[in-house]
Amino acid sequence: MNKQFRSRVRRSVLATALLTSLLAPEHLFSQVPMSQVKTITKIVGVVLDEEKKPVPNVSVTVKGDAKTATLTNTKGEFIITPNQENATLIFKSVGYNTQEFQLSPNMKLPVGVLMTAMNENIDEVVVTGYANRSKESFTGSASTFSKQDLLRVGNKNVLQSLQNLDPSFVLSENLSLGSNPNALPDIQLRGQTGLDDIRGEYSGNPNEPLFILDGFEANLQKIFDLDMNRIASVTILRDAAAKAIYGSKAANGVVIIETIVPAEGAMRVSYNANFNVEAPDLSSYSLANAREKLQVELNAGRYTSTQPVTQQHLREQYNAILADVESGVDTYWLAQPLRTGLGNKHTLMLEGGTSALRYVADFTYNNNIGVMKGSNRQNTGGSINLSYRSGKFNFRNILSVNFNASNNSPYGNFSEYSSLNPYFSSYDEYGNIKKMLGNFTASASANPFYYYNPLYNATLQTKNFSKYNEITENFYAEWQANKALRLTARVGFTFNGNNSEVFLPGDHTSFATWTGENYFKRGSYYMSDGQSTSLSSDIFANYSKQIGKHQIFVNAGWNLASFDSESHGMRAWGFLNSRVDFITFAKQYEENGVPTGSESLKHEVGFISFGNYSYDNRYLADISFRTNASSVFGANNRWGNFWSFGLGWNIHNERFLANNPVINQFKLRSSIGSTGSQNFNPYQAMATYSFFNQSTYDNIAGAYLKALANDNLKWQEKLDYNLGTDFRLFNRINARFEYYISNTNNLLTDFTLPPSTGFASYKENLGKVQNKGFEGSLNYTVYSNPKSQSYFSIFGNFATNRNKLLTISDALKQVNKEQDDLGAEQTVNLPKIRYEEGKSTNAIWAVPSLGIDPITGRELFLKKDGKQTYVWNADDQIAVGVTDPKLRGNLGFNMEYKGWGLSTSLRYTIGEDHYNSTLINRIENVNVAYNVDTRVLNDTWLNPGDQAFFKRITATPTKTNPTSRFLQKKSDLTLSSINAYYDFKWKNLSRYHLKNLKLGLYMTEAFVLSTIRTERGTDYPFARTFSFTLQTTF
Amino acid sequence: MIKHKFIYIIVAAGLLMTTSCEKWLDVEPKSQVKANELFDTEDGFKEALAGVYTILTEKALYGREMTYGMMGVLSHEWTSYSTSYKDDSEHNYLSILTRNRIDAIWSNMYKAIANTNMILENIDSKNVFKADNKAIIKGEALALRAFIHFDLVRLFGVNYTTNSSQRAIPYVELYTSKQTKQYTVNEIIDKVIADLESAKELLKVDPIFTGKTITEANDRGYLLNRQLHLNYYAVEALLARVYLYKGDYTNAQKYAENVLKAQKFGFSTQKNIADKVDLSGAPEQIFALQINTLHQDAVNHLTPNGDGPIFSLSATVAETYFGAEFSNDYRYLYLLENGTGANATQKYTLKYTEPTVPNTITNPEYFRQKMPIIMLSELYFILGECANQNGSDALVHINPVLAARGINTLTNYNDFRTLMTNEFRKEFLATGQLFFYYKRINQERIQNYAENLVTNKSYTFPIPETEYEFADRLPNK
Repeated sequence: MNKQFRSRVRRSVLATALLTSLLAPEHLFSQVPMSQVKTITKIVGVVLDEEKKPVPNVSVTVKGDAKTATLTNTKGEFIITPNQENATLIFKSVGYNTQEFQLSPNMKLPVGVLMTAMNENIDEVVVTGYANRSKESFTGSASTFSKQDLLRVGNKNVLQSLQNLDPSFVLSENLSLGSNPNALPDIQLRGQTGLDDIRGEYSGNPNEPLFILDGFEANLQKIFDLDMNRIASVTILRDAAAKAIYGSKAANGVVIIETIVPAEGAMRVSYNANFNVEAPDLSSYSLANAREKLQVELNAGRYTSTQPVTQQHLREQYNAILADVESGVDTYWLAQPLRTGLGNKHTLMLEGGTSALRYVADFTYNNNIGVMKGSNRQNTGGSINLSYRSGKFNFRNILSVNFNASNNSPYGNFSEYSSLNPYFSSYDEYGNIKKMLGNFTASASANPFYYYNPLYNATLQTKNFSKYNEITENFYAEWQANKALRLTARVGFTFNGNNSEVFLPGDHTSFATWTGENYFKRGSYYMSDGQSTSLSSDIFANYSKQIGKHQIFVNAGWNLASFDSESHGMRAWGFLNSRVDFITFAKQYEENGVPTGSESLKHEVGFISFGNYSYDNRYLADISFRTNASSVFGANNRWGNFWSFGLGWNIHNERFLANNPVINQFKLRSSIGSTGSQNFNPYQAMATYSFFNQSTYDNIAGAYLKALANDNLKWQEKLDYNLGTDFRLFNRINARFEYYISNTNNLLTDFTLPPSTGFASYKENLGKVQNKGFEGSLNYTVYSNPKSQSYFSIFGNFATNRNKLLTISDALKQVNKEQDDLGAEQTVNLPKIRYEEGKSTNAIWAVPSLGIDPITGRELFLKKDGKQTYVWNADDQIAVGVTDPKLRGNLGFNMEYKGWGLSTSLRYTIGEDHYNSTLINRIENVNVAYNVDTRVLNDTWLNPGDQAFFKRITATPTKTNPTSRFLQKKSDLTLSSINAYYDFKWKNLSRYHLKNLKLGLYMTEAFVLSTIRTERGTDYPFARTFSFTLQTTF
Repeated sequence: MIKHKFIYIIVAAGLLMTTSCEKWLDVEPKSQVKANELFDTEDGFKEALAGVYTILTEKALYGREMTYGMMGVLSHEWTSYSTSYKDDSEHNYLSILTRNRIDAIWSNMYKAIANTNMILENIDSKNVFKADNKAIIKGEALALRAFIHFDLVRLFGVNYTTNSSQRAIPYVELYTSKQTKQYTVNEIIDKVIADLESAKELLKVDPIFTGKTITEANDRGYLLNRQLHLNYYAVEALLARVYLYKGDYTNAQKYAENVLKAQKFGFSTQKNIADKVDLSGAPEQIFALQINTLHQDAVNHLTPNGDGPIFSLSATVAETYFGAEFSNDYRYLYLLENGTGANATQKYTLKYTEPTVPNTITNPEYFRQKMPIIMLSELYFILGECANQNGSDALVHINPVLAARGINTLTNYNDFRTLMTNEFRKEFLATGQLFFYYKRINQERIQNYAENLVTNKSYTFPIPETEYEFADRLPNK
């Protein structure tokens, strides 16, 4: 009864509203003819935002009259003369919702118009690169980050920021290349799914996710060098429902990057500047000083001999060094090639246009100065983004160019410095840099061992750089045929031309031992150039329709892509004069050298379809299918089919949770689907011939087989299962949890062959690898006051991933079975590959160690049969640990108070097995000819009875084979970024002709706390970065 | 309407795409040629065949180790060699450097076999050949497969007479990633003979057999240099060699006589040897490999000035080889040279040095860059072996060789084996045949070396570790 009554009331209210709205125009129209003689007055008004502050540059137009238009001034005021009294004014401005204002006669002037700020609706759609999907009805696992999110946690590059935002996006820590500005990171998304190419023929990273920039595939370098200010949003597609539309390339996940779409309005000019300070971080090094080093050499027996004459000879050398040490020589070699890098980055952007034609043009300059002297990466580029709308057609064109120059340090490899003995002085008594630092002779008659000064090389005119120029042209056309159907066509073209040169003059220390005839061959010059082009295009039809409570969305299309690359290089020898640094001054080509080069061409074609169905925005379903073919795969398996299916339930839209004060959002979703990967050598599956270029046979250049073809090579295919939930509580807590299992089938590997086949190895599908894990993220807004734009929120996220080899492939088992059939008398061996069912593909293999025997000083090992032995045997190796951490993630907080803001982000990894190579290379296997870690001085076995961790150090280096002794548990906590800023939005900037101004400070990779001590940055040191940023709009 | 047109265009484009798709996806690598494309032309087959011969000319094989290099050290025909060959000289096959050389022989020989099998797998289905080229190329490929396997079984299989049912090597007849069964020595020999017999049938169109005149005008002179290919007579000579190895003297004699009766090959003239025009015995070569770098290699490895490894023999040992008649022997007089300075007591072979080219020679290329593999004299020696076996006069067959070398012919001998070994050593210095000779007769002790090669099992190489590891192989000795 009650219910009935309520609905009746509602109905009557509705009816009244409808009636009035119908009546109102009639009433107004009737007035028009009556007031014909009346002059139309000017309308004066002011536009204010929610904080009652004036909004300048708002476009004010009259509905139905394109000719009359104006803009608000800096005080938000406007004057407009509409052609009729009861016209409707339209107010438009970027960042605000469009307002309509109905004029009426006798209204009070000036009129006040309130503009409400547009919510960043980026959260409301999921950008999939092919079509945007409504987030609420999407069942896939995807995270979207806006430019603001990215800039909050770093200003270096997109990849660095993503790592601080999403725990499943991992840049593997490169302990050797450190903070080298020219080193591209290795990326994994949700664990390792591919194995490295053992033969090293192909440089592709088999685990790298697919990057899509503005709808087209982009390589890692392009994303690495992309100016963050150009970015509108980044979306990470993790599960099958989200990524299966990318089919054969999506197995490692997809990262979609969209650049800013031009917004209309008067021209706005914005300028961003970053000033970066990079300071070397040597805290992980603990090298011996001059006195300690000499002591280590003495302990190791470097100056001891049983022969009196030799003993005398060695003693003299020792005394000479000791005299230097006493006189105060103690060179800190690590600091020699380093500096504090001062880099800067500028972005200038112009934006504006009318509703028909809009534009964004930007110009970027970024000079990233590394901490090793002379190393930097410089990007200069720009882009023009035009968008034109005409009726039902919409065109967009993005043209961007980038010029990159990367210089490597003339000081060489950082490890050259960390290995030098501190008792050498870099300068002679006249203050000149020495070429030779010293020498050591083991006996009076032995050949001396020379130490050269790498600093000397920096005084020469060396060259070590690479450059590339890239042009990208993307064109998009869209036709909205009717409300439901839209057709799009896109073409993307990228050209990249690159070259690199490495020049070492004859005086370089690496040629110091070239004597006699070779003396004139000293000096080398390597030159290479290459180019790559990619051309892709696609056509899509998009249909969406709402019928009652049924919402349908279907998208189907076809794509075509071609990737072509080529490079060539050559090396010349003989540059005796250090001043001439051009290749034509070479004496000759490299001895027995031939031109080098590589070339690859890939073609692919695909048919894509995906759709979404939702009922009453409660029950959701996603389905997608893609079939595509690539020239990369064997002739018998060229086409691959990829699909996904997802289901979701918006529980918060159910009646029982509607308007619930606690649960604002509660969504369950699950998906299953398959994707593939093709980061592999394009010619791997073919039987191809190459030609002998050094000789002919009977006047014919002979051809030989390059590799063994595998026509049955199958697509490496990944099956993903994902279960996830999103919820929002009290309008303050946002959380997301996911559980996934992904099985990679037909994992590609290099399978070693018996040489009687004529080949060493060939590509085969190894088997099935499983990755499974949990991911979660939580964001809690502790305090929020929209009026003063103040808030304080904390966030945390985590990810775990377990990797396991499930089965060895049938193809390999078949090989073994065929051996069985060959003859019963022949024994069968399983292939001795380093992969065992049930073990991680990231396992560390070593022989279990029982430590150093205190009596003999030798290491005691445990054999597989449980016996103890002093003898290391490769067959006793077992998987002793896994390099994947048990848990990783980020945590931190963001806050802002009246324009003052502070954000921090910490990154943690817990429980990773690490094979500490520093302990081996710098301590146990150390060559005492070079510098050592101070830990050599203690904990090494010297006398029987010593309970020591390390073996005895000897004058000549020993070899420690893989042993569990050096396996350590590693957990790290990194303060990845701190960002403090002040936004002048609270101040009236208009008198300075500024629209906004923001000043900020960043500190990145400020410190690392680790449970183990290992040298970080062996070839290039790590750095802490401080930067000052300025953002402003005119 | 417009909408429909648009859709038609898409559908049409899509259809067009799918039909031409497969072709578009068949990508052509620039630095490589796809196998099916290479074999679309006769030239492709010629190139693939030349490729197999080129593989054989690599230093790991007949370019050095299988001729004057490792094989020379193993047979101790050299008395001086670089220290890196010390383990080879002691037949210490498990030491690292020696093992690397043995493994390289195995893998490169099988690489050549895989390349040969690829030709054989493609040739039957293709009809792109001019005249007799199909039969000749296929015959050569079969002969190559047999030739390579035969040398492999001579190295990695035990001596035939010792235990011919011992497992030896796989006889690979397919281009495949699957391992091939490891056959016994006699099975391998049977397969070698079978392949050679089929090759012989196919090569009956070989111009060297038919006597057809070939000039540069015929197919760009493709069949001009038959001695650089496994020609009809090379196959017959190879059959003689194989049957002798097997101990089948009847057949060995038959095939050796066949070649000699044809009179297509003759001995080098004294003048040409003395003038250093013909150092490697070009007219005597029933089969030789063309090695583009041979003369430079000879400088590097067979003179004191090379960058090594260098192989030589001491002058005194050389004299023991050539005995009393050394001063008449062309091989001593013109094919050995004294070193200078510190190397004055060493003799260096001149077989592979750059020949001089006097104006009188019209075809200088004929004498250059040739590594002899099967020589005329070997056939005479095979007949000598057969005669000795039958109890007839072996000297009838040996004397022509002696005469051709400028030394007095013999009327009698004490011990056939001593005579044969001495003559073989002189004749085949630096060709790698002496080790195989010793192995065939299972010689226990050899000149310049104290160890017993039979009890030490030094005549059989170990199969590479990787072969044991990745295939199922039984011990070969």
